[in-house]
Amino acid sequence: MATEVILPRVDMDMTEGRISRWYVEEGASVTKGQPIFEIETEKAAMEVEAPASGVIRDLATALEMKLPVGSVIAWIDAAGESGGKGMRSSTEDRAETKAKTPTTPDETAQYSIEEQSAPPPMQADHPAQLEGDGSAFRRATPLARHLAREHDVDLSSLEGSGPKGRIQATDVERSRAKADAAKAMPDRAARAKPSGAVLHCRWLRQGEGVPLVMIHGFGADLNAWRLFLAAARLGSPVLGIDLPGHGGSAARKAPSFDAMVAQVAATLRAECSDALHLAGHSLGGAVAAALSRHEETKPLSLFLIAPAGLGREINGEFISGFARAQSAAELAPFLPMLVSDPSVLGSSFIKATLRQRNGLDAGLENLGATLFPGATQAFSIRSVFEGLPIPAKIVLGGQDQIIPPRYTSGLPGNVAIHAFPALGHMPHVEAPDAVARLLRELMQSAAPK
Amino acid sequence: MSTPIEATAILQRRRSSVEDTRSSGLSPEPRELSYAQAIQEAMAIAMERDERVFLMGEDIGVYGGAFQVTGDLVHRFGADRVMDTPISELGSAGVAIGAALTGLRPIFEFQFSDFSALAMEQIVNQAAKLRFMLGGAVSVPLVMRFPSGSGTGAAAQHSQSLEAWFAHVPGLKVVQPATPHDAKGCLLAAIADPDPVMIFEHKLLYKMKGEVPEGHYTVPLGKARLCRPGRDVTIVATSIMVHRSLAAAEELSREGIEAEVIDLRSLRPLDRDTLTQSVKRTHRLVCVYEGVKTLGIGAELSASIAESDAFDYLDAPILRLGGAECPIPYNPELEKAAVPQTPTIIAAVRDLIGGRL
Repeated sequence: MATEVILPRVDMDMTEGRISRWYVEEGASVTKGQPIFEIETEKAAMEVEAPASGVIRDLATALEMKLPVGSVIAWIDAAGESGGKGMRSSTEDRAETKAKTPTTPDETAQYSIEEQSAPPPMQADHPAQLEGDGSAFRRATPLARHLAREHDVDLSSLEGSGPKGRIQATDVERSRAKADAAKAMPDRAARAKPSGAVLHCRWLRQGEGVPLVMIHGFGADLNAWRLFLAAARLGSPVLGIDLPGHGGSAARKAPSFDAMVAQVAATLRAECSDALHLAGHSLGGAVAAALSRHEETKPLSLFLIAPAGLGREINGEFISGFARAQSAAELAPFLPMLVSDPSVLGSSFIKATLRQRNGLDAGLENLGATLFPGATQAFSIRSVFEGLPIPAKIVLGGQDQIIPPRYTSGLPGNVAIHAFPALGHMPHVEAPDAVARLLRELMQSAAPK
Repeated sequence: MSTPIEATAILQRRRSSVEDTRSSGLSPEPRELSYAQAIQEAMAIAMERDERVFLMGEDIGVYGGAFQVTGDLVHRFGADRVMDTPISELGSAGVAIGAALTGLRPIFEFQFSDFSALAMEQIVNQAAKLRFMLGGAVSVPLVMRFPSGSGTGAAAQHSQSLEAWFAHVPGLKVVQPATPHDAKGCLLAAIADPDPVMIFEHKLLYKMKGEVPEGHYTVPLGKARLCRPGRDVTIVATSIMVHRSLAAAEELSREGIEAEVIDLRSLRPLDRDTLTQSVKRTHRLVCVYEGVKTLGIGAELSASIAESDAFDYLDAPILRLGGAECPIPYNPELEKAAVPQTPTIIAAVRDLIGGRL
């Protein structure tokens, strides 16, 4: 029997959420427990695992569309089963399906006959497009159409936020507001375009106030922050950046650490207003620190988690082994080095880590060799901290097996050092609440008056 | 004919001047009456003003009417003007229409609106048609009152809301006052109207109290009333559903949803303008009525909006909340579940605003 994939309630107050991305495609084989999509609520982004094994179908592909908790957003057919139902999003549809769900073998036979003669399912890849003739007719409310006509907005350029991808008045108004903003800020648009050198980045959280830019560590990507952000309860918007050679920036090369910093700076110029907070982990921490002295970046605060670049040594065995690993089995010996208590690393962490590695192949190994030749760190950020005009915090674990924690000694007194004696290289994974609190305090103390 | 009217008018003036003196000294509070009392007062005023006005109906005399609406009027006006009729709606309705054709002004109480089915021929084929078939030579100034609706445990044959049947017939006027104020004002307007007017009174409203002005006044037939302004959704309701919609609007307001509530008051003539203007402001429409949903008044309202220039202002599907597709059940819980209740309206509006429909 087909299993429903429903939009789960991931926090207490949640009544609706949106799918921010699918990790699987229509018709893919999934295994129970495998992360299949990412859900975004007002507060956080979370990965959700497959409730059963089988072939997944009827994905609700309208991303960024708010759905009530409990909506059916996909179906997983057990092996040998094939479904025929179209995309489902409302509870009414669910009820109807339940009523039709066969309970005896006889009914099953009847059911499949009905299924064959049923009309073709709605085209799930164009949810706002009405089923049938394949023309460009979009599902939209009369008011949305009226506004679009009045303001010369092309409906086909819009994503509908309503049920079944229906375009509503707010969608037209949002698009107009965007267009107006673009007109009002030709300066910024002009700055962003010609560079062409921007890295892949993504707003991980919407919010009010000065944005926080987060830069991941070696071998990870911007999605590595999502679990931490789910716990962090930040009020500000958060921008995640994929470093060159990582995630969505996998095709980009960085011949040196300085080149990497310059690419991130160019990306920030294009994406962010001038004021921002910077945070980074490990290699990303070093990039963030270097950015705080970059002439074109003006951060208000600097938050570094187990940053690289403070001393000479690094765990070379980890860097090369981690960069080469292509399977969960190959990764297994190295991941426990990241934390003091390996039990915090669930199967979804391992899978997510592998997924972040997908398609990087030799690129990551080469980058590892460039940045960390012969188990050393080829760059230093120590000079950043002397006379640093903004508040800075370094958070680290006393049991860090990747970068020796002793390197933080000898830094100038204006830098706050928070050392968690029992934690390893990823304090934000092992103690997200405590680390998030430090981050919030730092951002509040550095907020513009 | 004119003499008694003038006499009554003088009497009226004299009496109201007495009342004015009294109220200016001792009674600054607005006066409250129940819905049933307001109707009784309207009938008394009409009979005092105009000797052509008289009442007909089953058990409306000494018994005072099945819902005690006529009360003791038989003692004030006598059995000739407060007439008990036999249990034969078809025959009595024929008598009433005949009386109206001669120039009298009968007010005919049906004991339950369900029994209108017995008088269908007289109402639909005679009362509604005669003015047209006789080229305007006659009119039928008949008022019919119908205790209607569910909620009293009176089961399938005594609980229906059949007003939409009659609103389908040109030549009839069909109104559903929702407040004591409108119950009196609509009845007085109906008596003054030269054509047949059917007033559907919800049985659960009879005991409801509300402010009712003294003396004679009318509420225009065919004019809706905006009860509560709002910006997010228009709830158009009839009869008791007006009160449930207002209660829902209060609750929704706490969630930041501001519903505009319109009391339709009249099904024929239908005030499409008030509704159209409202939908143009709120962009969403929910129709709430007790009659069976399918082919009910909600269908007409919904289609009116779809045909009007408010169509281009809709930002969500139009929603109808009507009675269930079944006879009204006897079981009290099922009876409640068969018609829209306040929580039904709240949930529907939440779904509509939340983009789940």
